[in-house]
Amino acid sequence: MIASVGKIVSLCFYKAGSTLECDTNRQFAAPLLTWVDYLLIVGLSVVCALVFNGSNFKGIPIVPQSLMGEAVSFESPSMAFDKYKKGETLFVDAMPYSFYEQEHIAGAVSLPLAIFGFMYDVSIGQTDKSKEIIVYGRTISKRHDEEVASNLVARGHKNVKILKGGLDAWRKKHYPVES
Amino acid sequence: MRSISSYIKGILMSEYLSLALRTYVGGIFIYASLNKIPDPGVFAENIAAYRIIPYQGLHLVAIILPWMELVCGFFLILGLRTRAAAAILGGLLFMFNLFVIINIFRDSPISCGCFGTVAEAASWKKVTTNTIWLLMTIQVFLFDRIYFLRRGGFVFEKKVHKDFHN
Repeated sequence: MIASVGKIVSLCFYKAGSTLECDTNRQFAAPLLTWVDYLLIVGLSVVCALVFNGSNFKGIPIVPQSLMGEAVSFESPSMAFDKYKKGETLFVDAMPYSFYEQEHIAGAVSLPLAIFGFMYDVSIGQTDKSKEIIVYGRTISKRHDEEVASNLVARGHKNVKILKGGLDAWRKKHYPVES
Repeated sequence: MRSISSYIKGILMSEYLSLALRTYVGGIFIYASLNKIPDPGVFAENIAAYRIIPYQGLHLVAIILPWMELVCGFFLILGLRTRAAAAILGGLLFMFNLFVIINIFRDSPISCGCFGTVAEAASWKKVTTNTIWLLMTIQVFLFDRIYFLRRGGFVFEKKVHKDFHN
């Protein structure tokens, strides 16, 4: 009898001890980490982002739209250099001003997209609309040249072209650059 | 008597330090995201200056990235899924550092764009700051033990319970 009571009591202590151990473990062990945690955070972010962007008046298209119209064509660096030597073509650098300051085609005018309206009036606003303009400034991430060229066409310029390969192609042929 | 190194080790592994760090890092990322979310076009311009992300994916990154920072920031402060949030932010910080270092070597004249319109140069100072934040997220990932909704089943209560009893 006493032995069985002792056995029950010891079993109770054992269970209590084991429960306490589990609780302690639960408190001090790192929480379980699964891919669902990541999915939850990423999924919530994507849903919120897309919903907000759709309703935001400053929202942007998910895939950038190409602005190349029929009015704008490409010009190869060698052809562009022939025109450069004649001095009848205006070269426009569409990159942000800090990049223009670092290096640009010698004699090119800076017309960054961010301040296009202001810079257009200051630099080429009075230029003959039929004069040929060659725009350059393209990176892996952004087609500055396309956007500036389409803006120039919208302002009535009839002969706007884009330098194929941009400043890199120009530099590779050792054509004149300045900083 | 405990040695100084064991005291330092104790502090570095403390869950209270984790609580402080995740509150700080969470706050930083919430602040950073709130500057970018309202105008994704400006943020896209900032990312484009790094010349790393391809044109077709640029807008998607500019739309989603700030929200990821915001959600992770809130999760860290509220104590929800903190390990996952810390891991994601750590990954982002590692990526930011990589982008900044690449552009330092390219000698690009760009600002980091980390806090929206506030101009801060992409420099070694920025790399150092990011690295410190990255170490903070690692500490949170490894040692955070103070959080809400662990018991009561936010997502995996049963699985957690079963694991600990086995």
